[in-house]
Amino acid sequence: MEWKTAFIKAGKMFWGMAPVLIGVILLIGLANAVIPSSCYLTIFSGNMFLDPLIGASIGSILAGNPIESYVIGGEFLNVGVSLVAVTAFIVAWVSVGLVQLPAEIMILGKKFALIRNGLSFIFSIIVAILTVMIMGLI
Amino acid sequence: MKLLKASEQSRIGYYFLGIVLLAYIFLFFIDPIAMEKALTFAIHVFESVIPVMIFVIVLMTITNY
Repeated sequence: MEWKTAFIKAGKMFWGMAPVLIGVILLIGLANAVIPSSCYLTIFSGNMFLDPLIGASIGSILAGNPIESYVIGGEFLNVGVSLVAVTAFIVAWVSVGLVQLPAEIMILGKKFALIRNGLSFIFSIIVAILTVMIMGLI
Repeated sequence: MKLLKASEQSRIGYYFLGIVLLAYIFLFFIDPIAMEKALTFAIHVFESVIPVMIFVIVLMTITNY
Protein backbone atom coordinates (compact mmCIF):
# COMPACT_ATOMS: atom_id res chain seq x y z
CA MET A 1 0.00 0.00 0.00
CA GLU A 2 1.27 3.48 -0.87
CA TRP A 3 1.83 6.17 1.76
CA LYS A 4 -1.02 8.30 0.41
CA THR A 5 -3.50 5.39 0.48
CA ALA A 6 -2.31 4.38 3.95
CA PHE A 7 -2.75 7.98 5.18
CA ILE A 8 -6.26 8.26 3.67
CA LYS A 9 -7.22 4.93 5.28
CA ALA A 10 -5.87 6.11 8.65
CA GLY A 11 -7.72 9.40 8.24
CA LYS A 12 -10.98 7.55 7.55
CA MET A 13 -10.46 5.32 10.60
CA PHE A 14 -9.80 8.38 12.73
CA TRP A 15 -12.79 10.21 11.25
CA GLY A 16 -14.94 7.25 12.29
CA MET A 17 -13.99 7.57 15.94
CA ALA A 18 -13.86 11.39 15.96
CA PRO A 19 -17.55 12.01 16.92
CA VAL A 20 -17.26 9.85 20.05
CA LEU A 21 -13.88 11.34 20.96
CA ILE A 22 -15.19 14.92 20.57
CA GLY A 23 -18.31 13.93 22.52
CA VAL A 24 -16.25 12.46 25.35
CA ILE A 25 -14.06 15.58 25.59
CA LEU A 26 -17.13 17.85 25.60
CA LEU A 27 -18.71 15.59 28.25
CA ILE A 28 -15.57 15.89 30.39
CA GLY A 29 -15.88 19.68 30.15
CA LEU A 30 -19.52 19.43 31.16
CA ALA A 31 -18.74 17.13 34.09
CA ASN A 32 -15.93 19.45 35.19
CA ALA A 33 -18.29 22.45 35.23
CA VAL A 34 -21.29 20.73 36.81
CA ILE A 35 -19.81 18.11 39.16
CA PRO A 36 -17.55 19.50 41.90
CA SER A 37 -14.19 17.74 42.30
CA SER A 38 -15.07 16.95 45.92
CA CYS A 39 -17.70 14.57 44.53
CA TYR A 40 -15.00 12.43 42.89
CA LEU A 41 -13.05 12.41 46.12
CA THR A 42 -16.15 11.18 47.95
CA ILE A 43 -16.38 8.19 45.58
CA PHE A 44 -12.62 7.59 45.47
CA SER A 45 -11.56 7.81 49.11
CA GLY A 46 -7.89 6.93 48.54
CA ASN A 47 -8.26 3.35 49.79
CA MET A 48 -5.65 1.09 48.15
CA PHE A 49 -8.18 -1.72 47.57
CA LEU A 50 -11.53 0.04 47.33
CA ASP A 51 -10.39 2.67 44.81
CA PRO A 52 -9.23 0.19 42.13
CA LEU A 53 -12.43 -1.82 42.67
CA ILE A 54 -14.56 1.26 41.95
CA GLY A 55 -12.29 2.31 39.07
CA ALA A 56 -12.45 -1.16 37.51
CA SER A 57 -16.25 -1.23 37.92
CA ILE A 58 -16.65 2.09 36.10
CA GLY A 59 -14.18 0.98 33.40
CA SER A 60 -16.09 -2.28 32.92
CA ILE A 61 -19.42 -0.55 32.42
CA LEU A 62 -18.16 2.15 30.05
CA ALA A 63 -17.15 1.14 26.55
CA GLY A 64 -15.29 2.79 23.74
CA ASN A 65 -11.94 3.46 22.16
CA PRO A 66 -8.91 3.10 24.51
CA ILE A 67 -7.83 6.68 23.66
CA GLU A 68 -11.03 7.96 25.26
CA SER A 69 -10.16 6.11 28.49
CA TYR A 70 -6.76 7.87 28.57
CA VAL A 71 -8.42 11.28 28.24
CA ILE A 72 -10.96 10.47 30.98
CA GLY A 73 -8.24 8.88 33.17
CA GLY A 74 -6.07 11.98 32.77
CA GLU A 75 -8.91 14.21 33.92
CA PHE A 76 -9.59 11.87 36.87
CA LEU A 77 -5.95 12.33 37.90
CA ASN A 78 -6.28 16.11 37.56
CA VAL A 79 -9.20 16.22 40.00
CA GLY A 80 -7.24 14.21 42.55
CA VAL A 81 -8.36 10.61 41.97
CA SER A 82 -5.62 8.13 42.93
CA LEU A 83 -3.35 6.57 40.30
CA VAL A 84 -4.34 3.06 41.37
CA ALA A 85 -8.02 3.81 40.63
CA VAL A 86 -7.21 5.39 37.26
CA THR A 87 -4.97 2.44 36.29
CA ALA A 88 -7.71 -0.05 37.19
CA PHE A 89 -10.19 2.08 35.24
CA ILE A 90 -8.02 2.09 32.08
CA VAL A 91 -7.16 -1.64 32.27
CA ALA A 92 -10.81 -2.59 32.85
CA TRP A 93 -11.98 -0.25 30.06
CA VAL A 94 -9.70 -2.05 27.61
CA SER A 95 -10.08 -5.64 28.83
CA VAL A 96 -13.59 -5.91 30.34
CA GLY A 97 -16.66 -5.28 28.22
CA LEU A 98 -20.03 -5.57 29.92
CA VAL A 99 -21.75 -3.81 27.03
CA GLN A 100 -20.20 -6.18 24.47
CA LEU A 101 -20.72 -9.25 26.70
CA PRO A 102 -23.83 -10.55 24.86
CA ALA A 103 -21.95 -10.42 21.54
CA GLU A 104 -18.93 -12.14 23.08
CA ILE A 105 -21.18 -14.87 24.55
CA MET A 106 -22.81 -15.39 21.17
CA ILE A 107 -19.54 -15.67 19.25
CA LEU A 108 -17.16 -17.28 21.76
CA GLY A 109 -19.49 -19.05 24.17
CA LYS A 110 -21.02 -18.22 27.56
CA LYS A 111 -18.46 -20.02 29.72
CA PHE A 112 -15.47 -18.48 27.96
CA ALA A 113 -16.91 -14.95 27.91
CA LEU A 114 -17.89 -14.98 31.59
CA ILE A 115 -14.57 -16.46 32.75
CA ARG A 116 -12.52 -14.09 30.56
CA ASN A 117 -14.41 -10.99 31.69
CA GLY A 118 -14.40 -12.07 35.34
CA LEU A 119 -10.67 -12.77 35.33
CA SER A 120 -9.96 -9.56 33.41
CA PHE A 121 -11.88 -7.61 36.05
CA ILE A 122 -9.96 -9.23 38.93
CA PHE A 123 -6.61 -8.85 37.16
CA SER A 124 -7.31 -5.20 36.31
CA ILE A 125 -7.36 -4.54 40.06
CA ILE A 126 -4.21 -6.61 40.65
CA VAL A 127 -2.41 -4.93 37.72
CA ALA A 128 -3.37 -1.50 39.05
CA ILE A 129 -2.06 -2.26 42.53
CA LEU A 130 1.16 -3.81 41.14
CA THR A 131 1.70 -0.87 38.75
CA VAL A 132 1.43 1.68 41.53
CA MET A 133 3.60 -0.45 43.85
CA ILE A 134 6.32 -0.82 41.17
CA MET A 135 6.13 2.90 40.36
CA GLY A 136 6.57 3.55 44.06
CA LEU A 137 9.69 1.41 44.06
CA ILE A 138 11.11 3.24 41.03
CA MET B 1 -27.88 -11.05 17.88
CA LYS B 2 -26.49 -8.94 15.04
CA LEU B 3 -23.10 -7.24 15.37
CA LEU B 4 -22.99 -3.54 14.57
CA LYS B 5 -21.56 -2.51 11.19
CA ALA B 6 -18.99 0.29 10.99
CA SER B 7 -21.58 2.69 9.53
CA GLU B 8 -24.00 1.92 12.38
CA GLN B 9 -21.24 2.48 14.96
CA SER B 10 -20.41 5.79 13.29
CA ARG B 11 -24.10 6.77 13.42
CA ILE B 12 -24.23 5.94 17.14
CA GLY B 13 -21.16 8.17 17.59
CA TYR B 14 -22.97 11.07 15.94
CA TYR B 15 -26.05 10.45 18.13
CA PHE B 16 -23.80 10.54 21.21
CA LEU B 17 -22.20 13.81 20.05
CA GLY B 18 -25.65 15.24 19.36
CA ILE B 19 -26.87 14.36 22.85
CA VAL B 20 -23.81 16.02 24.41
CA LEU B 21 -24.34 19.15 22.29
CA LEU B 22 -28.00 19.22 23.38
CA ALA B 23 -26.81 19.03 27.00
CA TYR B 24 -24.60 22.09 26.31
CA ILE B 25 -27.55 23.98 24.81
CA PHE B 26 -29.67 23.00 27.81
CA LEU B 27 -26.95 24.20 30.19
CA PHE B 28 -26.65 27.48 28.25
CA PHE B 29 -30.26 28.36 29.07
CA ILE B 30 -29.95 27.27 32.72
CA ASP B 31 -26.47 28.51 33.61
CA PRO B 32 -24.56 30.28 30.78
CA ILE B 33 -21.49 30.83 32.97
CA ALA B 34 -21.21 27.09 33.72
CA MET B 35 -21.63 26.36 30.00
CA GLU B 36 -18.82 28.78 29.14
CA LYS B 37 -16.65 27.18 31.84
CA ALA B 38 -17.39 23.69 30.44
CA LEU B 39 -16.60 24.78 26.89
CA THR B 40 -13.36 26.49 27.92
CA PHE B 41 -12.27 23.38 29.77
CA ALA B 42 -13.18 21.13 26.81
CA ILE B 43 -11.19 23.39 24.43
CA HIS B 44 -8.22 23.19 26.84
CA VAL B 45 -8.47 19.36 26.77
CA PHE B 46 -8.72 19.43 22.95
CA GLU B 47 -5.53 21.51 22.76
CA SER B 48 -3.65 19.02 24.92
CA VAL B 49 -5.00 16.00 23.02
CA ILE B 50 -4.43 17.22 19.43
CA PRO B 51 -0.63 16.46 19.33
CA VAL B 52 -1.35 12.93 20.61
CA MET B 53 -4.06 12.49 17.98
CA ILE B 54 -1.65 13.55 15.23
CA PHE B 55 0.82 10.97 16.55
CA VAL B 56 -1.96 8.31 16.54
CA ILE B 57 -2.80 9.12 12.88
CA VAL B 58 0.89 8.85 11.97
CA LEU B 59 1.12 5.46 13.72
CA MET B 60 -2.08 4.28 12.01
CA THR B 61 -0.64 5.36 8.64
CA ILE B 62 2.57 3.42 9.33
CA THR B 63 0.64 0.28 10.33
CA ASN B 64 -1.56 0.58 7.22
CA TYR B 65 1.47 1.02 4.95
